[in-house]
Amino acid sequence: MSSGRKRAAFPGPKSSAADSSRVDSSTVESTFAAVPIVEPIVEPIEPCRWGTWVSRFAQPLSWLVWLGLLLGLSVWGPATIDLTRSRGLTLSPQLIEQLAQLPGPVEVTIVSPARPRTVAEQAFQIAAGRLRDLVERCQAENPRLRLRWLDPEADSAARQLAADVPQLVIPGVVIRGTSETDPRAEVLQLGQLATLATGAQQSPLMDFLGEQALVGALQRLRGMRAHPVIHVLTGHGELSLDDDDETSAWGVARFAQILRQQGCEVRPLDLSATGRVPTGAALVIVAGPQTALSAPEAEALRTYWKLGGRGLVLLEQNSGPSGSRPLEELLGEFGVRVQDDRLVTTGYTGVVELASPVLPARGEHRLQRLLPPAPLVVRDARSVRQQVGVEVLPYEFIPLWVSHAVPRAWGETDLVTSQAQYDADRDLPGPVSVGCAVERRVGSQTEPVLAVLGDSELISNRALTGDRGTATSAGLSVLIQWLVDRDVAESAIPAQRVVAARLTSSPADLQRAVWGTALVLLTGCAVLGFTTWLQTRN
Amino acid sequence: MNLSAIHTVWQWELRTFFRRPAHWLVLAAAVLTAACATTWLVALVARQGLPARLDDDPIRQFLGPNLFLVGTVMWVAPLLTMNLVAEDRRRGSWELLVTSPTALADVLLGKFLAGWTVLATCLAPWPVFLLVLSLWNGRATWLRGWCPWPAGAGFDIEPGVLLGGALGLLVFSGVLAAWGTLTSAWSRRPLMAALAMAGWLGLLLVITLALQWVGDGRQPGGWIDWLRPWGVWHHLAEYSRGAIPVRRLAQQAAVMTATLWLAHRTCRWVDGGPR
Repeated sequence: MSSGRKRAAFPGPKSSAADSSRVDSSTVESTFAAVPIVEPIVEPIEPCRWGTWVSRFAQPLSWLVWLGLLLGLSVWGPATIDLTRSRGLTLSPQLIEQLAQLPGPVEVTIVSPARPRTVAEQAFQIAAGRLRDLVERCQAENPRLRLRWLDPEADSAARQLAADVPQLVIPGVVIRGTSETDPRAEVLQLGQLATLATGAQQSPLMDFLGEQALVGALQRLRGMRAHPVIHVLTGHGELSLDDDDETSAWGVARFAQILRQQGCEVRPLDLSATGRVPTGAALVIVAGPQTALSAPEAEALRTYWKLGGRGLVLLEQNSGPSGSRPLEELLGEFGVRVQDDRLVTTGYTGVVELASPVLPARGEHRLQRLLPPAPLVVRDARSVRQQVGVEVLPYEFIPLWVSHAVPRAWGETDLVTSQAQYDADRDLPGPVSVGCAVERRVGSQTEPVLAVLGDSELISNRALTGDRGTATSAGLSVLIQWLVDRDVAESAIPAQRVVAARLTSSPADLQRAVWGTALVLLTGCAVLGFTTWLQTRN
Repeated sequence: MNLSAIHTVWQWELRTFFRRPAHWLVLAAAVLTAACATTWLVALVARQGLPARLDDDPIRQFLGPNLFLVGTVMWVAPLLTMNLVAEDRRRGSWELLVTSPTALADVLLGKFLAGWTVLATCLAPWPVFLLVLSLWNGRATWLRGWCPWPAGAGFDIEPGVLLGGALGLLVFSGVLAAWGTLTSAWSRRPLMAALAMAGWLGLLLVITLALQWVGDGRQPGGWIDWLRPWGVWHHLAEYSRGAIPVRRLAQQAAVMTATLWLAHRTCRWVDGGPR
């Protein structure tokens, strides 16, 4: 290799004639040592302003925007996307509408013992649990709906609530505004929240009605509907609206107070003066007239009820066996036959009791399911039966409260003798119905017309404030709601069927499936792990 | 954000995970726990009782906050996420990574995604077992006379519950992976990262249990309202009901984002100097 070729190979700015002469006389190592040092050409680097801007501002900004989007979605986004087939987690449009229009905070208070002891309490616990789920979903729509769960055995607030809301039967649900000035409260009992039944293979199932009950309660609470005007008939010795003595069996002031708490307006009605039922009357209560109604008064009631009006009739014993009985005849036209008898119940020793317990009738009708399970107590109640005749009436008869069966209870027709004795030929054998409801068939639909109770004392102050007061108040509240608020109670919201999960095979078979699958997965893990271990070792 | 770099880091981390025989042991243990829980589920369903609340339904609870699942997550999450950054620091490969022409955010994102994938793999047996029981009752029949085929479904399972529950587990494992990335970024030793993560999860478990003990939702207002967002185990139940709780999902995504941002800052702080 010649020096000239080397020089050509390593040209440099500092090569000179002296350097080239030294190369000629040196070894190969010295040749490399003499290679001129090439200084790097350092060019000033222009700072990338775009990159700096991106790293300093754009990236943090994009993070912040992304975070802001997520936070915005977490506050204003849709609450849930329901994936279930039944869409059971989606609130109905009616409930969403009610929630959107809540004027102020509303508190849903579930009053139920923490440890249910009876079957009814256990059933209520399940229904209340579902209601709690529902309220929590509602809170996502409107946080002004609050939930409180009180244990009547532990919380003094529960006892206070029971005192404030007389129609509450524990366990139950109270829905009311948090304002101290608003006394209105809505009470939901088990029958309004759910119905329990037994499905295939004896599996338990429940139809949860809480959503429609909540819609109805919120509607009534908000007073969205005009206050229903309830007229109480006067002029025939009926129970008095003015009598507010708590022990009085002749006053209905307490009942009127309950009606007002439910948002109703209560007015007296003297048909002899007005001649007809006023327009806009939601309900006419006939509270145990002592004397017979006149023909024009009966005609006014007939016209009102036939034209879609509604009535609650409470009966008294007839003062005499004979005479005009226009009220009974009027009820007969609506398919209710009122007997001239009195309900008699004997104790286990055979002694006739002063009062008779009556139990809610069992049936599939919604009103029957809504009735609280607690028995009512009646005194000298008249029995009411379905009027059976040649003519088919467009009315449905729904028994509501019935007595015990004979020989413990019967309808005694001998009203003269004080000593009651069951006579199979004359008396009406128990179970005797002492309360019923009547619906009118309109095409495929039905609408309420009447509720008839055989004992007027049921709505008296004494009955509503005594030992059985809460049960009686609850039963009557249900009846009034059915008569006045039927549209809400049977709204278009379908019931949610809750079915317990069940196996379609034996547990042993299913466990075989589980462990078979586990074995496959574990084998896969073992094979792959062993292979990995071998690879690692190699 | 360089997607290619993130993908490379993710792939590299996954290979590291799955080339460890210990990882397969963890996976096998997770499968065993899920199988035990499913056996317990079968026993619960066989009782045929109406659950008091929607979340008390055993099938919904299976993919929600139940003892087996909480237990699995409590030991699996720290074990799998502790190595994400701390192990690289211990071996000295972290410096190579952060001095490579890859942004730190990309490296962390790749590692987080790998941690998420591995954690989700360990929780996957839960919905898989439920899916198997929804399709197979343990008995076999012959299809066309020669092919063994499931004789029927074991449970009548709402598909939405399975879907929602699986999504909930996926999102929850993402949140855990983000927390794991943060704790691993904070520490120089994997053990410290695992302990920090386990401590954090334990604290959240205590909060959840405290909420349950006082009867969450029974009384409005007070300190319970402040604690409720931290009862993360209950958040799983919102998915396993059979729904996608969009707001909760957004909250969890926000938590993931914020945690990863914190992990990024923590890395800068621990490694020293801006990058």
